[in-house]
Amino acid sequence: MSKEPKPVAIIMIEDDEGHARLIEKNIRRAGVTNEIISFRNGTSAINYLLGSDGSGLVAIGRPSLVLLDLNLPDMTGIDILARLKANEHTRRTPVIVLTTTDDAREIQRCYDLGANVYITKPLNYESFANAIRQLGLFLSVMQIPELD
Amino acid sequence: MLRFGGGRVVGYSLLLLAGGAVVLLMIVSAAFIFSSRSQLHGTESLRAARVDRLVLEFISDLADAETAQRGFIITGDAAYLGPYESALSEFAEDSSDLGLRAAEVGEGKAIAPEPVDELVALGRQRMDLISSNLARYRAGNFDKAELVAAMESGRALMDRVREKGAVIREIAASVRIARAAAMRDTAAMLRTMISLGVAMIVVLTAGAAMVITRHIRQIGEAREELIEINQELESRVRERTEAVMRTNDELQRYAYIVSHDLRAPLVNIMGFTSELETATERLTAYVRKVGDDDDPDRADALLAVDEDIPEALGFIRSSMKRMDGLINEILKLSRAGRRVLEPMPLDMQSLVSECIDSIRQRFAEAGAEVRIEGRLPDVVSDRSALQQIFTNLLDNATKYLKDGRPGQITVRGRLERGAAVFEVEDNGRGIAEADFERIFELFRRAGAQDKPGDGIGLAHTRMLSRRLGGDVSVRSDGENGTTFIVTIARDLVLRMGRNET
Repeated sequence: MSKEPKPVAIIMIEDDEGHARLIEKNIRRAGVTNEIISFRNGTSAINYLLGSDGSGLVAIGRPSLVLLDLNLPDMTGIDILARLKANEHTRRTPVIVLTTTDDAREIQRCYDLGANVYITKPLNYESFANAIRQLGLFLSVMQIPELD
Repeated sequence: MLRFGGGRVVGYSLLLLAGGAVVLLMIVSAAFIFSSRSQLHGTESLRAARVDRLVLEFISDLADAETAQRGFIITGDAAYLGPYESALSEFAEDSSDLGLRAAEVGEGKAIAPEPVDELVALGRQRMDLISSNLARYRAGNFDKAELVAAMESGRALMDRVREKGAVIREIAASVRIARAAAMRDTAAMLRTMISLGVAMIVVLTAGAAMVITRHIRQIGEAREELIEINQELESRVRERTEAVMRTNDELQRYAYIVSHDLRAPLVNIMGFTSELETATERLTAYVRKVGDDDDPDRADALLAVDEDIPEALGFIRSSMKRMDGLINEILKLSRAGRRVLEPMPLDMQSLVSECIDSIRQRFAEAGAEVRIEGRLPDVVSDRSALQQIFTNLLDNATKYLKDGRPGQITVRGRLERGAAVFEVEDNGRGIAEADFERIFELFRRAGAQDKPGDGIGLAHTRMLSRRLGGDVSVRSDGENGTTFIVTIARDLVLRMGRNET
């Protein structure tokens, strides 16, 4: 790669304010400094990711990583995942699913749709923080494929 | 509902059978009576005939004797005396026979003895005359005129004999005619009786056939009705089961959503409690480091960071932990409830034996003995659900034994109209009647709370038995043991119909 890659933006789709705050705090503690863009509901997140026309053209030249909660007020995270993975401009964008359940069928469904990582939010805070920090480390070494 | 004239039909059949037997008996005895009567008539007829023949022989003896006498007198040839002698002896025989035989006819009532006696007397007179003629002829003092006179009186005697003989023969003939007529009548009556009997048998047979046909038709109708009722019942059972299963499914979804949504705020509370702890540590360090020992506010602050805040955080943590545990149990339960059932033919004997083996250690520790009574019925159902049910119940039974009473746990089973019923009985401490429903509710427990447990097992058991098309109930006198009764569909595939697979 000849030119300096653009910094990757972390797009966090999480309706629970507390969860969003805790995730952000722990990512920062892991030393990740990338910009974090937060969305509280599915509609605004989709608008941002695929553009208001839904074409996905807006994603070109904008490397990003999606942190996705499955339990959203206006739609399920599964819908968002499916739409991202179905669009040719966004399907290579890594999606990390963060959710409260560890339901085997749900996990499987997410991976089938193309989720890259699935993380259960553990109730035990230590392990939760640990998981997020590891995610931060993971993010710092992760290569985001870029479309020209 | 069912019209079933079974008793009446049997009554009719028996009546017909008895009637048939009576008719047959009557025909047989009539035949017997008539044939013996016929025989009597025949005998009497024969006897009369014999009397007739004897009368003829009697007369012919006399004629023979006379012929011989005449021959001898005319020729003087002694050769004629031979036939005379034999005629004489035959006459003696025949005349005694005649008396005996005539008395036999109609037991002596048919032919009066008087004419017979008269005939015999006349005959004897005639014989005496012949012998006196012969004697006189031999003596030589027998002239022609005397001879003629003797002949004449002999002929007159003979005529009287023939006359009497004819009278007796007539009587005998009339006896024979009367007997023959009686025989004809008897035969006719016998024929009538037989035809009557045949007619009655035909009628009875037709009646029996009718009754049987009607009975068969009734049985057929009853069977059809029964089939209809069965089908109706089956569809009703299926509807009910479906309704129960639907309710169960809804509850499961509800439980899943609740536990899911309860978990999200919990993550926050846990997370921010940790944040608070971290912040408090920093604050504590700072309060300890800076400030004036004489400052009364500082003492308060130290008290807060050393005691109040850690205590509050401790309570928050332990409560969180408990809530987390409960939510996890609900989740687990709801997940088990949403698991797709896989009905298959199951050998319950070995399934329950496996469950017993899997917690054998517990039985040994509790000093309990467990056994399967008789043979458990096989079912078509979900293996893992049944394993869970029996493990829960057996585990419970070992857990709540009565102190100082060696545990006896019995498992038995039976089939009951499309359902399999299993019982797990123990001789433990029992359950009070007021708690019979409560124990199946989630997080509820009964009796002395001296054993670890969350109040999940029986709720789980109830949910699973309902999913298997049945339910679970309890029976106990409150002190001498408890019996849990699990009812499940015998064939879950059949019960679920096409609604679920």
